[in-house]
Amino acid sequence: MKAIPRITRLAAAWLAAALVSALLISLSTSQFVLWSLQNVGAEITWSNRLFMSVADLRILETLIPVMLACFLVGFLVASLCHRLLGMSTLFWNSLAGASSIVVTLLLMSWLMNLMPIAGARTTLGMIAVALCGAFGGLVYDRLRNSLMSTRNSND
Amino acid sequence: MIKQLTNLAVVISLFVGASSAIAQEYQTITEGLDNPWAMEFLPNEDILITERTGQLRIVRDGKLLDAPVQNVPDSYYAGQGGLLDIKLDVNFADNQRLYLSFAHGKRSANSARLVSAKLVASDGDYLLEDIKTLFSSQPEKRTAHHYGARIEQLADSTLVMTVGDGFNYREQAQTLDNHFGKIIRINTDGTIPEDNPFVETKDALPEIYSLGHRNQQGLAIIDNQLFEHEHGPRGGDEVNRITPGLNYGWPIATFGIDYNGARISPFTSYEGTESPLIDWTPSIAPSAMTEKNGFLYVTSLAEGSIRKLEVTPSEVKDLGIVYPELSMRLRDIAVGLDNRLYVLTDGSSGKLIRIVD
Repeated sequence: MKAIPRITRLAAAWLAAALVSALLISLSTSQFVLWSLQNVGAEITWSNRLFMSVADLRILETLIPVMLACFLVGFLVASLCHRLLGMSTLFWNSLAGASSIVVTLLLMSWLMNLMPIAGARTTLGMIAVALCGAFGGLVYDRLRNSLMSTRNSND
Repeated sequence: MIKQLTNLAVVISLFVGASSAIAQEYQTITEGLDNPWAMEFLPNEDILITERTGQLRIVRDGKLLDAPVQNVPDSYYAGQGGLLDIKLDVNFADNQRLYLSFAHGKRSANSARLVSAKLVASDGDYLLEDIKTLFSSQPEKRTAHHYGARIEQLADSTLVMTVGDGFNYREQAQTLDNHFGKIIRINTDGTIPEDNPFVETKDALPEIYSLGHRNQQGLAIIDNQLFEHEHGPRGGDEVNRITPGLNYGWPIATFGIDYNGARISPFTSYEGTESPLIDWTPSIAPSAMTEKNGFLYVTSLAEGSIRKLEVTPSEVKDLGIVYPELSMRLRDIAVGLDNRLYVLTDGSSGKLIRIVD
């Protein structure tokens, strides 16, 4: 069987990381928006929560390209840091996943003078987004290593 | 060949006829306004126009004067902020007082402010004197969006002003300890009317007249009833009849969704909140409203239209777009001394247009 090119494997890991992160951010921000409504007296049932979590998945069409762009830069920088500074790729990729989305949101917030993702307006909401980004970094790192080792064994 | 030429002549004559009809229906009074936001008609037929960039301009005999009104308070010009609404006092002929609303402060701490001032004529120019700050919204915010800032004067002479939710602070429209997403009511000297709905409520700000609004840029009165419209996000633009003390739902109940496609709330209606009399989904982006001959006229930015609304005791009916040829982003609408409608177009090359139907 012909081996899959390295760049394709990296792209697959990058794409999977962006998809997972975007999905988690969508689910997370839905809960933070609902939490904010609860704080001002709205009664939110599990049914409401499920409805809104599903309805909010439509933001993936915006969020996935944003995550792809964030992670493209973030993982390249992480790779560079790993080569220059050492430490594990897991550390650098997770850090890149978290920081790239947070930096992007803060930059957009500064430029637009408003926060584009409602669920990230609070500190807790932003931390949750960062954790979703970090998990994306972890997914990228695991998939990347797994795919690379598959390539090596095939080679 | 002769038939083709005849057809061409008919088409040209129809085009010329239609063009002249449009020219007769709409008359551009002046242009070159920099982000105009609101206008008022003085008894001497001068027209005052606020520019969001901070100038209060004068239109006299159809010409925009170079010199603006002097001594206008500094405003914070950014995002949707700047010098916003203007309203003459009901007794302007006697006291020459007017009201201005504007964004005040700086990027990290700004608010919607309402001042009163005396308009003084001097050698053909105007200046403001005796400027008094009547109201500043609290707390200050870090965004330059959703100021509201539309002013109206009720039959008892008290002033109402809209205060938007500041965009990032939308849930605070539901609580009474701040001015975000509220309509406030004060006396013309800035004191609080004793019959405001929340003056006796613990921890409530006494200026609050109604709550649960987003970014309300239209106010008008018909038969002593106050009507308001507000921008929704994507969809959910609303027209409401304002009753003191009531909650108009934002952001718990809305037909709009966020700009990125996310839901604002699972609810389009919610117990204890008022549903809109009109919901515009998709958004038309209503920018201003005026009353003429018992009807409400609403200008819009996104739709670029004027809509006519019929008010009945139980409902408000949207009669649809009037003057469809006037299709552009419209920022303000008012009735002139000649009882005709005037509109301001939006943007850095704004125009004042009279509708001459």
